[in-house]
Amino acid sequence: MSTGQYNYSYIFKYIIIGDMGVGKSCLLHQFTEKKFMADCPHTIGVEFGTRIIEVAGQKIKLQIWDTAGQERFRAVTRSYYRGAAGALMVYDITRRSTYNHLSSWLTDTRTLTNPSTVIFLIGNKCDLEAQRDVTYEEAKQFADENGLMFVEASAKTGQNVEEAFLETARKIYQSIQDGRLDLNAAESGVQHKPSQPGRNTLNNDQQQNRYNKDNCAC
Amino acid sequence: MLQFWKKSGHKEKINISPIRNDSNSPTHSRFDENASNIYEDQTKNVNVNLLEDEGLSDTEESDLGKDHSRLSKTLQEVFSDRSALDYFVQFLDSKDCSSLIHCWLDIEDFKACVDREIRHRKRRNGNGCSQKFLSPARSIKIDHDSLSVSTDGDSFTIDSCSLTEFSSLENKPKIEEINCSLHDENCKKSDSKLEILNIYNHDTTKKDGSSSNTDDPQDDLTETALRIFKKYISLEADENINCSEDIRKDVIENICTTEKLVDPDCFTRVQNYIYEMLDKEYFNSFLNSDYFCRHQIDVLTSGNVTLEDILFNETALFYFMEFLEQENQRHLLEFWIAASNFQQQLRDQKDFLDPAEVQGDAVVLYDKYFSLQAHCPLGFSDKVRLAVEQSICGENGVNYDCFHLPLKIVEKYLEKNYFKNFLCSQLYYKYLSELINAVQNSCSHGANKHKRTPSDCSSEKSFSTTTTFLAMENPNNKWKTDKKAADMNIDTRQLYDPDALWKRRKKHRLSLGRVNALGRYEPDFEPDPGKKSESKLRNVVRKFVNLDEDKQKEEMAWQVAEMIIKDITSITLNEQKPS
Repeated sequence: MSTGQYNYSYIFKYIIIGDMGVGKSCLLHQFTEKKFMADCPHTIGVEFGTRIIEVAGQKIKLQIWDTAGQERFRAVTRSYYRGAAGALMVYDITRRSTYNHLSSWLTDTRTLTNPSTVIFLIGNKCDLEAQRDVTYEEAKQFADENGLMFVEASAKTGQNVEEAFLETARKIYQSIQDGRLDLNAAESGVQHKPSQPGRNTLNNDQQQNRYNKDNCAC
Repeated sequence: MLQFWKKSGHKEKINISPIRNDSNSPTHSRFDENASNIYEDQTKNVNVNLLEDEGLSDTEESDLGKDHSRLSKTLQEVFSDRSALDYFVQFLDSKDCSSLIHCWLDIEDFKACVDREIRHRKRRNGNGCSQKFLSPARSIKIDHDSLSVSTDGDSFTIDSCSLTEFSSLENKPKIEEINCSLHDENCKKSDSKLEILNIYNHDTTKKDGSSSNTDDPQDDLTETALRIFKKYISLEADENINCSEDIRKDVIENICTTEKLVDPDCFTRVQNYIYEMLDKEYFNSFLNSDYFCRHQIDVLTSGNVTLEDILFNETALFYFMEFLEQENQRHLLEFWIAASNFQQQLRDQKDFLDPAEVQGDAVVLYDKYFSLQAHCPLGFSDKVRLAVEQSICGENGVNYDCFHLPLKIVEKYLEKNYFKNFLCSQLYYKYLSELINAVQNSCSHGANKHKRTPSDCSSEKSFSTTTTFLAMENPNNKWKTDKKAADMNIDTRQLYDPDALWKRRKKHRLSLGRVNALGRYEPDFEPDPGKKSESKLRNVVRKFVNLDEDKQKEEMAWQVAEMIIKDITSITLNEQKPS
């Protein structure tokens, strides 16, 4: 494990946002530790998690910033939006108010992050079907109208948690490959270095050399 | 100066605390392992207590320290930082919106003049009659300052102040010298008709007496105010800032009061309008622009980067977090982020706090990092833990600075043990290179837009930095080379591909022949077949005859044959030349 944490090609910064009590920290814990944390205290400001995943043969380290949902911490947590490559916006399917506040969270995200940031909508607690307060179709429509990826998940059962984090990473990686992640890079046609300012970093020299070598053939 | 020394002294003392706390963890474990050393541990605890008590008072002193990063700017901070302000002005120039910032700067200069005039007025009143002879000279000086400052930058303001002070000293010795100074100044200021008029007015005023001198500086200030109005605020202004009619009328009223005294705050509403416009419409774009990237590069390459610069900038913090992850110290920064967010929230919402809620937040952090059953213990001493407990659950409720001491300890620990390594780490260079790449890409894309000299200088500086950085990484250097002209590509390929070197020569057919494997010269002409057969015969003969005598004969025969061939070749060349 300690060896693995140095063996990756990219680092993606994620933020997790949404109302308090929707399960942001439990989702993070389920993704990083693969288990449910029932007695989860509320987050003060920002908490932090990492995990290394693989996308298209590339090892990618996710640096995940889990923000506090309480309104009183909102001004503080806004400062961590900048430079995020991915934003996971979470609501609770059993509490309609958390769904109704998504527009406000989305506005913050659009305002404070780069246009190329991938935004993934997650409806958490899908294991509590009997208490459902927001239909899948309604949330899906909201996601489609705003250009968001969407999935319903359960931090308790682990359903779709992995998928949400991985799909976000795949889309970010695709943006890098397409050159859409950084407008400057796209405009100048620079593709030799996969790192982008403020979001991702190439941390393995060996990997970097191999990448450059591959480009020689082209 | 004394305060500065005192402050630095305290900082030196604070540095001791992390060491003690760091060594305290093994002490604690020793206590658990070996109960018979109670006396020795108690002695150490006494030392720790003394140091921490000292540290506690010192950290309170260090409240004067900054809680912001030079990499993260608010609009007010940009106005206060000359370097950042220069980039902001360039940015607004590129957007053709420089009138707002120009107006702001002119108003700041105007306010500086008003403040100086007020101070001078007080001095004259205080000195009484003895100042009357000096009044005309100083009045003229003020006029000069007002006019000059309005057209130049703050740097000239400083020069003007120095000139004024020097002139004041010079004017004190003798009345005759004062008269000479007046005469000289009159001559110097004859460049401008306006100034000539001012001098004539002063002469007239002087004859009438000194009672009306106090109005003259006001007249010139009024003129300066009118100039600012005509340039930026009036409907037909050259650099119109498009403020509302309401603000315009307000300014007119303040400039043209019945008492003919300029209101020092006559432009306050204009400045508030400008600040609001810049903050809402342009400042965020500036923070995302390559101009701000250049400012950040200046800070990061200045050699004076501080821990605060990194901790309070979210992008730099991202890299620092990754660095500490690699050093297995991530939990320290996690605690710092959580606790500083807790404190920041308290500061921001001081008027709306729910004490029970605040205490609940504090208990969450305590349980996670400080308690004996902590999920993520940091290794603080019992002394620190007890101090935190007291702050959270004291008689007066939660002390809103309850985490201040551990926060400062963590900051000093990170700065002492990890910050320097971070500044030399690969991650830091990656961060810097990405900022530089962003600027480089933007420069190459919008090269035509950078017309001003300062911008060109900045570009050159950025390029120089890039070159310096890239010298460390050969692979990057190679790719950077590829971005240059095609000729450079050819040269690069030649350096790495020996075949190209060989192939290039093959393309040139300047030689008349070649040297064969045996070292003999072979011209590319008709004798080739004959020579080849001779060569073969010679080889065959040599294989079967080993006597020295025979070898000598062969050599003589070969020389004769060579002579014959040369003769034929020369004849052939002579025949072919005419054709």
